[in-house]
Order: sequence, then C-alpha cells, then structure tokens
Amino acid sequence: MVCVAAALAFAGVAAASCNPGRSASSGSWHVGWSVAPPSGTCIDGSEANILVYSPYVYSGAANDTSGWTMLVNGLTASYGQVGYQKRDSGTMYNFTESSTSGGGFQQKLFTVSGVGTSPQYKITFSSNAFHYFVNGSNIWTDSNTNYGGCKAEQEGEIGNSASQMLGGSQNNVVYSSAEVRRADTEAWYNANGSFVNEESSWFDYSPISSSSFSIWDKACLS
Amino acid sequence: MLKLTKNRLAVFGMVVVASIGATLWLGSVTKSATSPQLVPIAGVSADTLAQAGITLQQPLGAVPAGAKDTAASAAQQFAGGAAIRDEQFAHCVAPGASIDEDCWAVSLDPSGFHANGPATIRQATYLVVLVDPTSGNALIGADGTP
Repeated sequence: MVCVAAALAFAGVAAASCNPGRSASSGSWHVGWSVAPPSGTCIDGSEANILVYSPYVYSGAANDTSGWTMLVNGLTASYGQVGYQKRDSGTMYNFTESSTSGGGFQQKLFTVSGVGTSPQYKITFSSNAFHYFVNGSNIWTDSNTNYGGCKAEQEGEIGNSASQMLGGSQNNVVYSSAEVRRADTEAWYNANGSFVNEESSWFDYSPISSSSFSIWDKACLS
Repeated sequence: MLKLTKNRLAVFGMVVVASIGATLWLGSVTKSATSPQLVPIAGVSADTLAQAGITLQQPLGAVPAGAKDTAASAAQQFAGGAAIRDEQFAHCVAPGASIDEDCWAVSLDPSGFHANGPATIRQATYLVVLVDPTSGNALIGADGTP
C-alpha cells in the first residue's frame, strides 16, 4: 500500500507541468550535454535512462517538448535520435528520428513509456543503419540515412519559447546511466559530456556524475 | 552452298529474335510475379513510404466488417486529433518494427508534426498511422518529409 502510494506520488510529480509564462516564439532550444569523439575514432552509440516527464507545451504550430539521446554529424547535421516527446495536443510518444539522404527526415511514433518511469533510450549506428532501442527492445531500424557522423548529444529540447523544458527546479529530469560507444572497439563508457545550455535564463542543469545529470525549467518548481 | 548459308542465317536470325522476345516476356512475367501490388493512400506516395521503411501491399485477408471507423478513431486519437485524409486496408510491411500483417493504414493531416533534429525546423509532409485490425490499437505512426 505504501509502495503504491509512493509510486503514485512519484508519477504525479513527474506528470506535473507548469506554464513558464514566456512569450511565444517558434525555434529550438536545448539543455543537456554534448559528447565529442575520443581521439582516433568515432562515437557510434549513445544511451541514457531518461525520466519521462509531462511538461506544459504551448499550443501553437511546430511545437513539442522532447528528451532524447542522439548521434549527430556536426557539419552536415545528419543525425539519428531516440527519446520521448509531448506535443501541444497533449499526446506523448516514444519516438525515433533519422535524417534522410534527400535532406528530409523520417520520424516514427510509438506509445510512450509510463510517465514517472526512466526507460533506457539507446541508438547505435552500424551497417549503414540506425538501430533504435527502448529498454533493450529494438523498436525501429532506419537504413535510409546519409549519416557519417562522430559525436553524441543527450539533451532536452523545446520547440517554442513558451513551452516548458523538461523538469522543474524541485523535480529535475534526470539522465542516468548515460553512456556512449567507441566505434573502433564497440566499448561503452560514461558519456561525461560538455554541458550545453542554449538559454541559461530559462533552463538549468546539474552534473551528478560522469554518467548522470539533471535538467529543469527555471520558471517551474515541479 | 551460298544459298544454304543464307537460309541458315535467316533461321539463326529468327531464333535470335524469338529468344529476345521470349526473354522480354519472361522478364515481364517474372517482374509482375515478384513485385507486390501496392495499395495507394492519399497524402503520401508509395516511394516516400518505402523510403521511410513502410510498404502497403494488397491485403492477404478480407476487409474486417465494421472495423473501419474504429481504426480511424484509433489513428486519430494516436495522432492527437489530426484530420483524416484517407484510410486503406492493406498488408502492412515495416521490417524496422517487425510489422508484417494486414492492417488499417490511416493517412492524416501532418500539420504541426516536424523534425526535432539539429537543422532548421522542417515540417512533415505526411503522417500515417498503422492500426492493428484485431486489437484496434495503433502499431506505429510515421511522419516526415523526403
């Protein structure tokens, strides 16, 4: 009974959302960390357990808030990513997304993992294909990519300035067991990335360990 | 001797022409036998869907009675209320997610669906949801632009 109550309370906290009160503008803002490749090889895998949080999402065009782990080519912007998102309709998904050779993108949407849980989101690149996993299950593979990148990112993102970033100051969204994979040996190691905060007056982050950090929207407590 | 050679050449020529014709005919028969007939759906071309890892082929079974509206509702709910463009019953093949079954394919208005990637925000030009005809649950949604 106590466990059930605790679980419900935990889920309730993760489900909390608040309007940060910012004016609306479409764009793309991130907070999290970026991982450069080790000397002499690329990163071809990226994984993290990400707390599923239900943020406030401003109702407008091209609008969602998401948390993901990603492989990216910093020069061509070709990429693959897997994580979860909440749209302005209120609908939440687990999602995968890959750039295409034609300069477009292809996104797949799946039933979201439970709010308040911390599923593992993992992407690997091999045999010229992105392989996407949630909690160890291969949910999608994209072979139609033009990917040739080397770095990883593990971040939260808002698509409108009026939307809430994942988390509140008293209810951070934690990225844990965050690792990346060397392409030469296929060994996984702690991501220990360099922090990125594209709007420090709106968002904040806290390093926890070499494989863990948390993020939140500064305008929101929970 | 010369006449015989000419006759032989004529026969040889006819054999060659017949062989080419037979090869072309066999090729077309083989192609139609191995290429699945695709089911078109409004809002996205078969080529774009194939690029996204999904093909809609002729269904193997009969269209389930009375299930079309249920599938449409499930797809619309999955897509957050997006307007429906078209709905087809097809054999849905999406190897990336191990989908290989008859299903309802529902094409919806992709307005507002967009890329989350690092480039400038790109709007989706298609949105398709595949619905399991037995459970009535959405199997997967796919949106994007080529």
